[in-house]
Amino acid sequence: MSTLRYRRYDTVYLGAIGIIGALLVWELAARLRLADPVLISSPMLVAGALRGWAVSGALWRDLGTTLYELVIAIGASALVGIPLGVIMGWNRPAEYALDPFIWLLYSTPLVSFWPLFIIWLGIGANAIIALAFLFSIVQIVINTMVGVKGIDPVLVRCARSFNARAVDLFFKVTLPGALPMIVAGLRLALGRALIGVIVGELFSSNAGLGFHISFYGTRLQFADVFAGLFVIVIVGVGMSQAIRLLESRLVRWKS
Amino acid sequence: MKRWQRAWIGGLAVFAFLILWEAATPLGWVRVAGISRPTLVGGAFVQLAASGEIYDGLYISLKGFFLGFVLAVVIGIPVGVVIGRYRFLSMLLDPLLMAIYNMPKVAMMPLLVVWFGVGFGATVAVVLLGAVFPILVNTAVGIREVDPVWVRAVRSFGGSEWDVFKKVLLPGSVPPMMTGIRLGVGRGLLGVVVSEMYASTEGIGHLIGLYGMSFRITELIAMVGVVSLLGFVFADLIRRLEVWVSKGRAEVQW
Repeated sequence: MSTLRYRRYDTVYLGAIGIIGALLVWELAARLRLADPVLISSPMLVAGALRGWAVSGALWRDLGTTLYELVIAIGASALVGIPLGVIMGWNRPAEYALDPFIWLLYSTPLVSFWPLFIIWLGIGANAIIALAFLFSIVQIVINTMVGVKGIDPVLVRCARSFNARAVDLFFKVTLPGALPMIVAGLRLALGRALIGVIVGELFSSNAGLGFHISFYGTRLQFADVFAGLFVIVIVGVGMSQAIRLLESRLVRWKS
Repeated sequence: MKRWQRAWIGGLAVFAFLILWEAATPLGWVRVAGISRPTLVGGAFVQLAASGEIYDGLYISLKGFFLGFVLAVVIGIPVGVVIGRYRFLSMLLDPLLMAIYNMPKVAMMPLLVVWFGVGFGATVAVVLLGAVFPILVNTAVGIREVDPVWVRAVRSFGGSEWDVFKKVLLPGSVPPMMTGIRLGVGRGLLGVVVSEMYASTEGIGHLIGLYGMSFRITELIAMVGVVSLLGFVFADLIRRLEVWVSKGRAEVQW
């Protein structure tokens, strides 16, 4: 058991060492042929593939497509999911009525709906957005509902006794009170939407990061596949950092 | 009373949904019968069950799921415990783990089918990858958040490192571990279906892809129903397990 105290800098240094070490092991494994270099590629090859992808301009097109689908999907699920969650949090019969559907969607592997979306909406961005919407909305509804239910009823009664209209109640009590839970839900929902977008692109599309991975995967060009995975990691980490920033801005009043 | 009300209203809502769905096509609300009808789906379900297609598919899918998931637990919990226990290791590996944790593992499908073979191998691999990180990370968090006072207490009474693990760290980190397992089950099921839809010639996911491609909507919806039911049953089992585990905790505390 170590009783050493680590400073803040150590976290950064050690974390960097961990990542560099992993890359080094990977590069050596490929160079020394501990594993078939065709199958595992290598960090140097991946960097080259990434540069080629960026120089050709296809990277920006693919990234743009994926981000576009992601933003539309998450925006639509927030637009539909937050009001739905508020209604479920406010009104008990509404909660009981929608509960079975929400829980079924929450526990189902939602990719199974993919063929239905293809039949209804055709192959392309619409089906992908629909899948990502389905992936993310459940999380937003659940978090919003829990957030609304957690609001101190004294605040609501107080607003009511001062003759607050439903609109005022919503914007001045309910929404601010449930905000921490909603933003937390948004963060989880973004991760789920990313899964939906990538899976949809993987299955059938002609642009996007998932398409890039699938395209080069079937041609066994794994350096390009890893380059795609790398960009997806960047998107995932970037998004969760952005939400964290939003969280600290929006929820500052809480502390 | 409240419980009864919940079941009653929920059941009524589901029933109303089924009625609307049944009526939508004959009443002409939906031009193309692209949504089938519940009665037809029910019939298809009976037929698919009678022909054994559902069981064969379920058997293959569940085999892949359980093998991958058991591997994820067997790897994830010990590694999570070690990373959570040693501050140095967690600082070294945290950014790497976070990067991988944030990536949808299903994106690795094209690699996995080449590395482990189309079908069963790739399915086990994607379930393992999907489930192991939530389990590992949550276990590590659980271990880290155990009050160090308890560790010192065991130490000062001459307990060994093994005693610390067995008597303090493991019981203390059970709730986050269960969270990891619950998330892992969801990711694992997702992985099974994606893998079988992406490239496989058997399993429930394959059947869904097959009926989708041949536009047999009724059978397709019946199969989606089977997968949904599977997810629901798993989620329910996990919830029961969580309740059971936390009950045990309350008993041993004092």
